[in-house]
Amino acid sequence: MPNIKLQSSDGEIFDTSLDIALCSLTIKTMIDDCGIDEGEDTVVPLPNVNSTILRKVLTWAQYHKDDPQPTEDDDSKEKRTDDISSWDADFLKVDQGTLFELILAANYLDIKGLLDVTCKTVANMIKGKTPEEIRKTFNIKNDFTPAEEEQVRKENEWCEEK
Amino acid sequence: MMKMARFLQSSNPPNSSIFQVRIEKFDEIKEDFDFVDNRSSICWTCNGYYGSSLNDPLCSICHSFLIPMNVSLPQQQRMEYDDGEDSGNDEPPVPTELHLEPALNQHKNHYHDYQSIPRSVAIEYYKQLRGLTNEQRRNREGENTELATLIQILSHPAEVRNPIISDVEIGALPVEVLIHIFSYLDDISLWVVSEVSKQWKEIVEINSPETLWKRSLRERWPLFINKVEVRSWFKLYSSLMSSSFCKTCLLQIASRKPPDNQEGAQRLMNELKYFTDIQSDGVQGVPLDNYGNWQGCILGPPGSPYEGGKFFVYLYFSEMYPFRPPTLRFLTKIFHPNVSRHGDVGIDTIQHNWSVSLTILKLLLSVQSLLTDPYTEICMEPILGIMYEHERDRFERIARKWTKKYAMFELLPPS
Repeated sequence: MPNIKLQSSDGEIFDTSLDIALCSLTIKTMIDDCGIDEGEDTVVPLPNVNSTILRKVLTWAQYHKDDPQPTEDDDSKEKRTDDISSWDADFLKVDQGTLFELILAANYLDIKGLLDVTCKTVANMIKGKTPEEIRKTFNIKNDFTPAEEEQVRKENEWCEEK
Repeated sequence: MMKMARFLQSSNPPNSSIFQVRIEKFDEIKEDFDFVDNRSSICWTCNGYYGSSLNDPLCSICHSFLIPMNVSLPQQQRMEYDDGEDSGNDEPPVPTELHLEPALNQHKNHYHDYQSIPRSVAIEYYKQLRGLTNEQRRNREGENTELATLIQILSHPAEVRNPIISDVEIGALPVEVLIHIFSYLDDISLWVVSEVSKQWKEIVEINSPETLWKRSLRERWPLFINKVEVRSWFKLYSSLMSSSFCKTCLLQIASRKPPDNQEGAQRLMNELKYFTDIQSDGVQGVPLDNYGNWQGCILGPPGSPYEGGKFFVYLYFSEMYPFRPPTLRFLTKIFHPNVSRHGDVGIDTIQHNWSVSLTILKLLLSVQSLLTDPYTEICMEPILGIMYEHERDRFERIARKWTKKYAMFELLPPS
């Protein structure tokens, strides 16, 4: 397999085996469509991914390069979140910011397997929590104003006592 | 006259501000009544010691300790050997080597119960334990790690959260990624998500099909029968969830473990038949799953301020049923002196006065009669007891208001 060079947003060059890079459908499309030559000297710029995250993504792709191609989701089947492999679980023991950056990178690079497993991880962080706990976990501001909460409450009070 | 039991929480008067309101100050309370003001997050029992209660009545630590999910209660010793000829003074027969292991297995789940193990069995047990390595001993007593963990947590006040290292926040994720994340959530989590922020509410409302909410509502509230056309199942689902006392409990109901109890299961099935056999107006009960989770409902008795309301209750039958009472808790908010702000009912029949001859039907009927006749000498919520005794009109006005607000979605779904 020939190698390919990937350039992160901060300018670092990653010399990667092509079969690993092709986990990313975005890179695959670039190579197929834009006719980027598979020669040694080609550098694929990835302006949306920094080197820290790209290194992690490539580690993940290296481990999963032999995985069967994920099939399209079947909506009728209930989606599970408890099927994260122990390697992935270990790999994703990172702080929230890094996790979100990985999601953004997986989304941008179009790596379905990585996107699925990172999203499942976030879903697991949401499950079993109350709204206020979720706000605390993800540092989300409660932007329902008291007036709106009152409005919601009024909607339920069709029979207000006179 | 019904005798009421004082429940754990009420025996320890919390010093939350609401209890400092004295009778003469009643006039200052606005006509509606809420135990906590909406922005308050002080836990009812620990007063904030273990951290914020996040708008629920109890913080998560107190909740897991006071309303434990899967910690087994000590079981009454059941005699295994034939004691037909036993004078009562004899030592139990010494089990042979063969019988020892099953006997121990029978006891090993019930840590508190060592005293009631026949002494000879206990001696053998401790002999064996002494011979074990630390590792093996830990495994043997592993069944109590849950309780041990709870105690461990309880002995430490709330910790400061770790600072977030990377500054990318969840807000940076594009909507399609959020939709992807939410697609892994079940109905309850999805509803919870819709309560987090305006953006998330919009995403959930637009991207979740009404059929999901309709189906989930039928599953979660099998006793809910819409009497009029429902315009938005999502809003109805949301209203029913919001009308519940404790969100933590709602989230927990789905994750109960199955009790291992054939006898009790058989009895439950018989009781279910009873419900259909006797057309009892006013109370109903159905199993939610095969694990002892039931839902019941109680119609507000005519003439009471609860008239017209349908109050959902949650019942849990542990593996000790029918030798131990089921857990009974109001899901639907109800304004009543004997129902705590967490939904627990102060009625003696589910506490110390439980009897094996009581059935779910009788239990629900006795709760229903409690609605007509509150018992104010001992109350789950003393302040409501005082209001009931001294300001009956006001009490009934608010109780009626709560009934309309939380218990009448069958007739008047949110538009």
